[in-house]
Amino acid sequence: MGEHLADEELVARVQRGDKCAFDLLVLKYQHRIVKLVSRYVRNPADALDVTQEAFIKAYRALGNFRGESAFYTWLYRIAINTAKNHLSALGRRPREGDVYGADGEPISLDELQSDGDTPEKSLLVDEIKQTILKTMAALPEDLRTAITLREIEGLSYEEIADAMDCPIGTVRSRIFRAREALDAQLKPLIEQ
Amino acid sequence: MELNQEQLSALVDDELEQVGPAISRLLAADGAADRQRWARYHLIGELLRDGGAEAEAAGLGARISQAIAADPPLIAAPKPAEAPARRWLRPAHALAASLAAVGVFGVSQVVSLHRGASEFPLAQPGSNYEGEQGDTLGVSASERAEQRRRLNSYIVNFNEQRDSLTLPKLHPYVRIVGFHNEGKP
Repeated sequence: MGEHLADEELVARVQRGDKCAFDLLVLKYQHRIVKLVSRYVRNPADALDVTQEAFIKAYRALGNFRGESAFYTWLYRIAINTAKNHLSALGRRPREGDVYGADGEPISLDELQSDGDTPEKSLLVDEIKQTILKTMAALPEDLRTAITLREIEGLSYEEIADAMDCPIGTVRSRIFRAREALDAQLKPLIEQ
Repeated sequence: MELNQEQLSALVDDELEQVGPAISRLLAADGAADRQRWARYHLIGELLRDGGAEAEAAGLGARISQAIAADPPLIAAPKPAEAPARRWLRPAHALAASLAAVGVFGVSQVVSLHRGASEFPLAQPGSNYEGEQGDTLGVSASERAEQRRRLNSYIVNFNEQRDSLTLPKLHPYVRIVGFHNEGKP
């Protein structure tokens, strides 16, 4: 199957004026971009703000996106540049291991833990992670293997079918059922 | 109409053959539940890859959606059409490339002729130099005359086209293949 076909379709729709298609791209990539930006901007609240800024810049520049690279590669560059600009505005250069406060000064671990996220949010994030791990452990072996090969190892359905010695349709079904089992536990947490 | 959930799962993995209709259904006015599922399926992937749920917890998607709500819808700039000058140069480049090939061919022939000449007596004024070389190289004079005629007609064609394309920097290769006894057998 063609890689990034869904992205190409969504980008084309945004370029035709469909903002809702951009929402789907945000929902798809927000976690990866937060993770990326967090390597530069250690303060969690700032990292979220920089991520938001990067997505807004991407949206406004998408009219000129020609698809010469994959959408995510393009978005990745925007996010890195936005993070670096954020640090420049604070008068600092990014250094490996730096942890910054909003004023650009290094901050202590205590400050870091208390800054940005509310305790409720931190608890929710932890709860979500624990729930996913527990549900994964309880999945039937074939479902767990299929979703692991897909999400963690990044194999295509065809490669998973070879590895598990089963038809591609079975792989598709197993991955779907694994996601449904995980989603059934995740959904109430997200919606609370 | 709600999207088949297994199709949505395959769409998340870019493993769906018909992407367009699936995305249309996902973006439909009544597709909110599917869009939320799309978000959760991606979140599950990130969590399994040891990613965080901070963006989800912070409602980042909603914040971004709200932030761009005031922006006018995008209308992508059309892809720039190829500039007329570049379009015009394309046949000229092809012509120059083919002429270069002819030049190389011509040079190699002249070099081989000269090599042959060093091993044999130089042609005397008035002698049929080409005829003698033709015999030496195993190519008859009439074959050589035919080759030269075709080559020269190619060069004439090129010069005519070059003039029409006004490419003053390109030089014809007449000197390389030109012989002085044109028309003689």
